[in-house]
This record gives sequence, structure tokens and C-alpha cells, in this order.
Amino acid sequence: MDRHRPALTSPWALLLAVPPLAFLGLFFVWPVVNILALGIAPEGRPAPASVIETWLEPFVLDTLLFTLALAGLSTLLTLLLGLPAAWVFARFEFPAKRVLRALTVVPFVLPTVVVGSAFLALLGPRSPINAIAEALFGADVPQVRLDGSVAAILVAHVFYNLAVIIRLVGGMWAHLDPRTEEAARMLGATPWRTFREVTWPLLRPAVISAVSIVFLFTVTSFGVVLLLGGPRDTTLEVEIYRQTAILLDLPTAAALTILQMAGVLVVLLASARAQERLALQQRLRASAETARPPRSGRERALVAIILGATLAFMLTPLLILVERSLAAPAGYGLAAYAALLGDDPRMRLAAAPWQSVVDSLTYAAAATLIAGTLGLLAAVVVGYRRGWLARGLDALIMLPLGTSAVIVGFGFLVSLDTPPLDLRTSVLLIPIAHALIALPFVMRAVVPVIRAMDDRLREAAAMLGASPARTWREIDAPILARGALVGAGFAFAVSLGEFGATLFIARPDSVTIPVAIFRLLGQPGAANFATAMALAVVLMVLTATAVLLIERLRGGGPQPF
Amino acid sequence: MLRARITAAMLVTAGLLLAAASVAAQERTLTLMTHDSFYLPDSVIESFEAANDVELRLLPAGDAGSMVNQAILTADRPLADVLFGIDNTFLSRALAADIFEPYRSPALAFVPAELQLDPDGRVTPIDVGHVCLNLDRSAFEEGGLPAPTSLEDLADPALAGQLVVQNPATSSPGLAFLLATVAYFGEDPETGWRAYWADLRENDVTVATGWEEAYYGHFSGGAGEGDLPIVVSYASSPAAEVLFGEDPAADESATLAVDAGCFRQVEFAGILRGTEEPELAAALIDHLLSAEVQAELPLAMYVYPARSDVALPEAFELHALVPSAPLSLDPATIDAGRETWIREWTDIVLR
Amino acid sequence: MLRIEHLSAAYAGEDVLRDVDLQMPEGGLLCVLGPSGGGKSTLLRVIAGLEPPRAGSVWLAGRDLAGVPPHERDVGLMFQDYVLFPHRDVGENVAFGLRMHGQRGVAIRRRVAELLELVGLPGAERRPVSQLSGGEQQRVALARALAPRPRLLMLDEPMGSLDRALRERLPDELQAIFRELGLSVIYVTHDQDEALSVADRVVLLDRGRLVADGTPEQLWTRPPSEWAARFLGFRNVAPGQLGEEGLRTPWGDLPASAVDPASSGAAGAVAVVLRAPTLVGDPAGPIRGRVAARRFRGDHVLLLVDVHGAPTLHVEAREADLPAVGEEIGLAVQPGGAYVIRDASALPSGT
Repeated sequence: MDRHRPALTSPWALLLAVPPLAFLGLFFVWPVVNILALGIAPEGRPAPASVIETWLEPFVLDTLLFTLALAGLSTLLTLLLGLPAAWVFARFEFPAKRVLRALTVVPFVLPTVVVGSAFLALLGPRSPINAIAEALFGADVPQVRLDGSVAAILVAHVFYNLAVIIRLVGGMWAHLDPRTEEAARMLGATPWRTFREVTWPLLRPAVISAVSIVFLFTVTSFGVVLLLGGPRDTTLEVEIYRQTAILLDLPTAAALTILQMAGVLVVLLASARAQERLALQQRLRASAETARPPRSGRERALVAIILGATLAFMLTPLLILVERSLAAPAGYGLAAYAALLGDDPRMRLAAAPWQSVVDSLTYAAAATLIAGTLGLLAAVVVGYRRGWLARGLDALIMLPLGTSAVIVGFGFLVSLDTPPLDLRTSVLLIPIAHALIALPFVMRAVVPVIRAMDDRLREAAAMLGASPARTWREIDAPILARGALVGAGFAFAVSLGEFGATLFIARPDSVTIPVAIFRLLGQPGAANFATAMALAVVLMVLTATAVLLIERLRGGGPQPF
Repeated sequence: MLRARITAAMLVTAGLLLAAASVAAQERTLTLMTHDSFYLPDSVIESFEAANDVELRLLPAGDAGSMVNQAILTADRPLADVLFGIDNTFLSRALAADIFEPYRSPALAFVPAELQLDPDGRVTPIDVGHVCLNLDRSAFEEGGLPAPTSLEDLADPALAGQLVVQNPATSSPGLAFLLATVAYFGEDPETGWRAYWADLRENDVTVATGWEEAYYGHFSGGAGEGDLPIVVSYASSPAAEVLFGEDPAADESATLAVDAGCFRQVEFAGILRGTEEPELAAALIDHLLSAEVQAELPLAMYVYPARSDVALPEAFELHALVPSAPLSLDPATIDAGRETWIREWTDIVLR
Repeated sequence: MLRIEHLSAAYAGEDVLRDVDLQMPEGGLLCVLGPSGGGKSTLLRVIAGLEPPRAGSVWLAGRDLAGVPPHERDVGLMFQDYVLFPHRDVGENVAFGLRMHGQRGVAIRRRVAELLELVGLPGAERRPVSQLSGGEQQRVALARALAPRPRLLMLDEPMGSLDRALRERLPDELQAIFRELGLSVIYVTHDQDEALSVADRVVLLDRGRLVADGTPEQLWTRPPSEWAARFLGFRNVAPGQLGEEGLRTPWGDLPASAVDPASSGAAGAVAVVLRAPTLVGDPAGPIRGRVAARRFRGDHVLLLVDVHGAPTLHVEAREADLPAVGEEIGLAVQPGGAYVIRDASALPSGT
């Protein structure tokens, strides 16, 4: 199937790969290598023995096992709970489907501080569940409390990552020919066996891709573990943060970082291999052709239950934020929203909170420009070519997602310290860091578009007299442009929600929305809390709007990530 | 062609951003690196800028620990001219890394000697905070629970399951409270802090990751939404409850700080070695220690001024506690023992 | 064996099947013929249980299939474009239904080999389906559908995506296979030649309604409606008037002897079908026209004859000396060559 793909010759591929490689080299590889070198070779001579010694310490093994178990369990749960929703979104038509699907992405880009406080409210002692139980059975009823437990982390991880399963697996599912399943039914397979023997194997490449991304996110999960976990629940990521930011024990931090990055690379490469191995030539159908309204009463009930449960799970924490933002001394009111406009010194922000909205949008625009441009170039290389360059670039671009933000942040400090590249305190560093994190999303949005392009279109163009260059311009470029727009939308949303890296980057007094929320939450007083929640609601609305726009642009094309 | 256009767009953007940065750089600037909780009213910042014809840039750099570590990592090429917010728990690490220029402000004359912890004058004490137990007033009134008046009372079965503390591994007040118990009970295996924490564990102490979680999530008093009436917080928290509460003129705070087992945290400022503006940096230290700024500190950051000659605001007089005998430890002792103590604490309380 | 009563179905809010009644005995090959969009595939899908009926019932071997899920209906379906499982090879595709029916190991292998032999692909078990040609895919799909020995096998446009040579050869092969296995088969097609050549019995479906039912000979000799006649491939169809003295048509007035005695027509408004082979050159004949075109068809030459004010007449000429294009000719209808259908206006009109 590759033989009609226009050959992207090596010199051109290398040339196109230069800008993204240079960007990653300068703003990711070099800083990370520098900070690791400080840990591994404090006197200029590498000391691998001390790294291995660190790995052999019992607390490292404990942390590693806990990290893997937590990520594995989180991924499994996300998959199990996400598959029914993916099925419903792929196979059925129902009212407001586009809006609902866009809403499922909102949690994915919400900063952990926001989600953390929503879950504390939901799972803590004064949760609505406990309030209802108390109202029904009196004050003596035992309280349901999940905060400070592994269960709370798992719930939050599922909440965060359901969108990945719904979009990636559901996206593939929507393109599978439903008659393949019908053929199995006609041959006597029960619905369950049809799923197991036909649907599941065909979905597997998408499942592996989605699962590897969820695993990547949960294995590097930081805020959720710190905010919702118990005091003993420490993951590699939390430990790296502690060793670096609190203890300044760079040798230990370096050893742990190498462990984490190696693990992430293994997962990335294994998933890439598995996908190549499992990829099947099959007739894909337009998603609009495979979805239909539920027909029988049983089907309607099933769709309603799955959809209801999924949305209740994903939207309750968001609604809690809205509820808290409206809380006022007496009942409800819009005081917190009014406070966004004012500059109350009790908020301890340099400017009124709405200023953070302006700053966030500015940074997001800059990050989108950088990530969109570089991501498009990278996607062209990865999408049109196979082989070491494509695979290496793909892995390199994904790697920042699996690297601790504090390591990159501290790496910036020790690397970008020489003019003209002394960017350590520059505002430029924020869009650069955001672009680093948004790049994988842009690339993963565009590459499938390239790979899914129907070669027969190019052949038809050639038959009508178009030269290869003309074919590229007339056929490939317009399709690519739409993919790039989708990727840019994701970059924008990711930048809006980015929190961990932004907090580590030294910056003057302009702050992004998540950082402003974090600062407000760190100040005493119910008014500041409500203002933080109001700002979180603003962020939610911005994100949902961005995602809805993406959906519009995307139409029925391949799914991003 | 597409590539050419993209490249042009990138160059234009980069140019604009650099231009914006260089315009800002033309004026003389002084950079103050702080932790994220730093806050001063605009008026006192502007008075410094006007008096010295300089622009003061603030550089928040994470929590106190992260800030100090960033300063140490960038010692060769400092990010700022002055650093504010290093406390006695991190002091000796910074002094060992030799990141400060010595400077003795004339205003030190008004600062009690017990706060001047570096004999070489590399750091200047600016403010003092106290980590103290806070009580939910309503839980201890009208024949409720017996209010604790000492650290020992917390181990009393009558107060079982009523206390929430922060994890010293992840929280600054959590570490301060652990240091308070170390300072108070000492290292004796029978009666020392380890035995005390074992008792607290017996008495069902709750451990939270950070201050926010402990205060808002577990504590029942004031703005807290939890169900535990005793929390580790600050001596100034009851004043904050009133000032940030529904009625800033209330007679009585809903919470109360306990005058026992308080740990004193001194916050210092220092001139970062390598600054190109040593005189301005010194002027900033003087400004931070001026009566004008010292008087603003309590309401700005809920701390007590280092100078003994500055009056506290009314709300502090009414609601905040000035501990009568705060506990403290020598910075070098803290730095030497901190990691071991945290690890031992984790084994005793959490395993 | 198969009984369908008052079956109606809707898709996307539009009626696709309207009140269809159909009975089918054991064995035999029923062809469902109709234009695309006529409801043929929906009929199959409702019988298969893949689409719920809006009203009516389907009985198979005395069992009401309402509520029976597809996999328990004992019905096989071969899809229009075969829909082979792309992730399984040829053998696994054929074996799928056998495994679903609880067969194991050697039994499966033997049956798969047997079926591949039957469909002319011996030894193809390990071939990936992506490497099969269209005809091979069709054979594999057939073998897969046959494997579980369904009570009723349904084929949806099985020749749809094959080239012409295969389309001519395969129906005979299929027929032979079905005979040999004694299967009951429903065969859906839009191609009347295919339908008439392969079926024991043909039903015509037009816009969801069953409009004709009979053996190929019956339908060919007595098309039940003007629309059916047109769809079956009769080209010379037009409204006419039947009276005592003869038949009035747009092409000319024909004597009563020309009317097929088997006609269902009675005096009055009728639809007239002139069978092409019964039109013979006759300078004195009642029909006069001008040859507009000649098309060589092997055993005959098709003449398109323009008659003033009437539809173009299709004439199959077998004479040695043929009229030239543009030549005026006369035509006569051999006795019984005009088939007359009653009350054309009451019947569904053609497309």
C-alpha cells in the first residue's frame, strides 16, 4: 500500500526534520542531558556505579513497582470503562452527540489543581454522597471517603483519560465496517463472541495506541498522585520531583529519571512495533455510515445507561466546580465571577484574575504557532516515510510527555543561561515549554491524516495530467492543512491547561489561568476559593469551545492523539 | 513556498517577542527572586522604585525549597540580584553553596539577635512565622472536647482521632511541626520525638499531603470543610480567618492558635553573588527591613515583622497569637538531620 | 419452510418494505429481483435479524423468528462485497462459523478443506484474504456461509463486484453447488438475466412492495405489470386499447390474432408488450417506421426503428438482407406476439 505514496527523498526528509529536531535538541535534549550530567557526573566524570547503586535501593524498587502497578491498573480501568462509551459514540446516533463528545475531552486538558479540588470535594468528608447519606440515615452513618487513597488516584486517572479511549478506540470503531460483525452473527456468533473474535482484533491497533498513551500519562502522573493520594503513595514522578526540587539530590534524581525515560521509551517503541505488526488492510467506512439511532427498546436502554453513566462520571466533577464557583456567603451568587474582574489585594495576584485569561490566550497562541509549524513538519516526515528517521523522530517527539517537568525545568536553568539564549527568566520559555508538550498532539493529529489519504486520489490526479508536485499541492496539501488545523486546536487546548511545567519555569508577574488558580487556592479564605473555582469554570468554557471548534474542523476524519 | 511562509512567520514572531523583551530591558532593573507565596502591596514596591529610579522585577520560583535549589543550581549565572524567602530549614544548604554576598543592613539594629542566624551576615532576617496548632473553637466550647494546651495533650486518648498534620516530606508546615517535636522532645529513645510520634499514631493522627488539603479538606474550623478540630497551621491563621471571612470586623475568630509547641520559621533575604547591581541590591535589603515594609508584612504575608520596634496591625493584636516560647533548632542541625528525621518519621507514622 | 407475513420495515424514517407476504418451500432457489433501493437488501437483513421489522412476522421451519437474535436463526448470509474478516486467513474465515457452532479440530479442518474444494479453491487455507481476487473472495465468502449448513442461505448481489466473464460462468457453478447440497437459497440481484437464468422462482420487489411472483418462464411469458415487463427487459412496452376488432398501439393497429391468448388483458385500456423476436419484416405490415440504428448482436441484429409518435421499437432481425439505416420499413407481428396487460394505469409505473 506504500508504493503509491509520493517518495519523500532522504535529503528533503532530513531538511524538513531539521527544525523540529533543532527545537527538541535545544529545548529538551540538551537541558535534560545537562541536568542528568550534573547528577551522574558531578565532577565531570560519569559514575555509572552510583546510578546502579541507586537503582538497587529498596525504596526505588518499591516506588517503581507502585508506579507500574498504579499506571497499569489505571490504564486497565480506563480501558474497561471507556470501551462501552467508545462503542456508543462510534455506533449510534443520538441528540447532541458532537457536543457531548467534545465535552468528554474537557477533563483531559484541565489542570490537576482544578481536578484535584473537584475530587476532594466529591470524595471527601463533605461530599454530596455523605450529605445525602447523613440526611437519610442520620449523623452516625459511616462516611464514604476516598481522598488520600489509591482509589481516589485511580478514579481521577480514569476521569482524565477516558477521552483518550473514547476518541482513539471509538474513532477506529466508527470506521470499522459493521457488516463484518453482522457476518459473524450470521455464522452463529453471540454478540460477545462477535466482539471477542471479530471486533476486538480489528480494534487492537487503536487499543494499543490508546492504551500506551494512557499508560504514559498515568505513569508520569504527578499532581493527581500528590493531591489525591495518601502520604505514602509515591510514584517515580513524585520522587523525582522531591529529589530535585526539595532535596536537590541530583544523583538520585538523575538515576530515577533515566529509569523513567528508559521505561517510557520501551513502551513507546513496543507500541509502535505492535501497531505496525497488527495493522491490517481493511476497508474503512466513513463514520457517518456506520452510526445509526438505537433501534429496539433494549438498545435504547443500553445506550442511555452507558451514555448516562459515562457523562455522569465525567461531568459531575465539572459541575461541582461550577457549583463551588457560585457559592456565596448566603446561598448562591455571581460574586466570584465579579471578583475575576477586580484586583482585590487579598487574592495576592499581581493583576486582576481576568488578566491571566489574556496571558493564557497569548501564550497559547504563541505555543500553537510553534507546535503547529514544527508538528506539521515532523508529521510530514513521520507520515510519508518509514524507517529510522521517522521512527526516531516520532519517539523523540513523544518523549517529553514521559519526562518529569521538574527535570526539564531545572535543565532549562542550567542550560539556557548564556546570552543570547539566556531564556531562563524570559516569557518566551512558557510558550516554548507548552509547545514541547503540544508537539506530540499536533504530530499525532496529522500523521493519521497523511497515512489515511487514499492513493487512488493521487492516481486519479496523475491520470488527469497532474505532475507529482502538482498532485501534492492539489491533493495532499489541502487534506494536510485540515489535519494541521485540528492539531493546532489541540495544541491550543493543551497549552491552556498546562500546569506542571509552567509552574517550574521562572517567569515575571504574568501568569496562566492554571497558575492563577493554584495561587488562589494557596491563599486562605472562602472568597479566594470561590474565585479560583470561577477561574476554573472560565478555563473549562474556553477549553470546551476550543475542542468544539476542533470537532467542527475535523469533520469525519481520523482521530487525533 | 509554504515552508518559506512558515519560516517567515516564525521569524516575525520571534522578532516581536525579542523586541518586546529588549524594550523592557532598557530601563535599569533589579530582580527579586521569591517563593510563590511572596506578596507585597504595590505601594511599597513603587516607593522603592521611585526612590532608586529602578524597575523591580519579581521572579517567583516555586516553593521555598524549589527556589533555594534553583538559586544554587544557577549560582554561576544568577537569575536575580536578591533572593527573598529562604527560611531556617533551608538556610545551611544555601550557605554551604555560598550563593550570597555578605551585607549588614543598618536596620539590623532593630532586629533581635536571636533571629540573626548567620554570624557572617550573608542573609538578613526579614520576617518571622510560627507554625502552631490551630483549634476549631466550636468543638472545644460548652463541655465539648478538652482543649489541648501542650504537645503532650495531643497523645491523650481523649483527643484520639482529632488531629491532622502535614507530611513533612511534602509540606513546609509539616516539616516545621516535626522539627518542633524534635526540638521539644529531643532524641532520647524512651521519651524523645520518635516515641511521641508513635503515641500520636496510636492516637489516630491523620496525615495530609499539604497545608491546603489539611486545612480546607480535613480541618473543621473556619474555612475548613473537614471534620477534625485540630490542625497544624500558623499562629496568624485565626487572624486570616477573620480578614478573609465574611465579616472582616468580627470580634472573634472561629479558630484559635495554641500557645504551645509552636515552631519559629525565620525568613531571610540575601544578595545573590554575581549581581551587577550590589548597591541597589543592598538598598532593596534595607527597604525590606524598613519600618514601612515591616509594618505591611503581617497583612501581606501573615507573618510577624523581624523588627521588634514595629507595631502589629489591629487584627493581629486581636486574633493572632504571638507565641510566648517558640521552639527552634539551629539551621546546621536541621540541615544535618532533616532527611534522616523525615525517613524515620515516615517509618514510624506511615508504615 | 420460510413464511413471511405482512412484513414492513423502515430505515431512517422511510418505508423500505411494505406489507410483504412470501412463502418458500424447502429446497429451491428464490430470486429477489428489483431495482436498487427497492428494499431487497433490507428484506434479507430483516430475515437475518440484522434489522428489526416494523410490523409482520418471519417464520422459519415453523418457528416465529421474532426476538430471535441473528446468530440463533440458522440463516446464512453472503454479503454483497463479501466482508471477509481481514484479520483471518482463508481457512480461518471458512472455519469461523464452524467454531461458533461448537465444532473442533479435525472436523473443522476436514470440512474447511471440503468446502474449499467445493468452491474451487482447494488448498487455499493459509492464504491471506487481502491477496484474493474478487472471484476468489466470492468463493471464500460462499464457503464461509455454507460451512455451518444453514437452513436458509441468502446471497446479496453475489455477482455485484465481479467482472463479466465470471458473472456469466459463476451462476451455473453456484446453481450446481446449491443443487448438490439441496439448499434453500434466497438470491438477491438487480440483474434480470442473472435472476431468470439462476432461479427456480423469482419475486419482483419495487419500492418495498412485492409486485410479481412466479417461475422465470411464468414471469417471462406473462409479466404481471407494465413495470414488471419493463424491468424484466422488455423494451417494446406502451399503453394501448384492446377492442373486439383488434389492438390499438402507438406503433399501429394490430389484428386480434396478434394478441397472445395467455394475456391477462380484457377489452379497454391496457399495456402492450411487443416481443422483439415476433416482429418480422413485412412491407405490407401494420407498423411502418424508419431504421434509426443497427446493432450487431451475434445471432441477430438489433434494429432500432422510429415510428412516428411512438417509442422506439426494438426489432431482432435474422434475415440475410437487412434494411439500411434510414430506410423506411414495414413490420408485422406474428400471431400471439403481443402480450396485453390489463388496466395499466392501476399498476405501478416503471422507472
